[in-house]
Amino acid sequence: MLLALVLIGAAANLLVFFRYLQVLNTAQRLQVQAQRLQFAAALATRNLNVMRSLAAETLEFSRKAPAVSGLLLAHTNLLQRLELPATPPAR
Amino acid sequence: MDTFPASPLPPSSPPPAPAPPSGAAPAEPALERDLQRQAYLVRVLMLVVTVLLVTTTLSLFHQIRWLVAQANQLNVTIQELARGVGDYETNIAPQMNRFYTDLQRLAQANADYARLFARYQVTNLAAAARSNAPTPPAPPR
Repeated sequence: MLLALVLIGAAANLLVFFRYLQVLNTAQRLQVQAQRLQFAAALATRNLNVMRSLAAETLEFSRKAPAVSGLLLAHTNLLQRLELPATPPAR
Repeated sequence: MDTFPASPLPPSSPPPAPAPPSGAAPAEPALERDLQRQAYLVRVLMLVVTVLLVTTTLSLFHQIRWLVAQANQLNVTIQELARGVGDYETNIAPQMNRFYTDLQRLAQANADYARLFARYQVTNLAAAARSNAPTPPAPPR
């Protein structure tokens, strides 16, 4: 009776342990993927910030060179996404 | 009348056990006590092993539940990140590349702007983001 109990316990333990390993493996894969995506998101954010600064300076430059305004107007969509106006604000 | 042939004795049949010496009689209860003690020890050992197994199984169950909760939370984060990176990759990065190319052309044509433009370095991330965003594995249930 006790031996049967021990054997059943050992079998259940083994099954649970394998399930634990499976879940652990999936969790580790998810973690690796989250790290990759975080890296990609950080690079994207950095690029957006650089582009925002560049666009802001270009907007400022377009005051001196009005011909640049046409170029900026062609990218109104992007400038809106970067939270910038397509034309330089009047002073 | 018996007609069976008489079977020969096996060649290595052990000789009949010798009668126990007169001094062995008191050893029998001691032997039985030893056996009982050993049987008791085995029972206790098995109980201890059972308790250990049950404890391990329960703790593993607990750990699995915690891991599944963590994995689900991680999956939500991954989906949000993948959405953001995907949006960047499909909508913003191409526009940014076009804008950057136009600005490069402007910098080639305008020396004043070239000085300003030289201060900025934008990495083309569309391909990198694509390679970094595989489809997420299904979280454990």
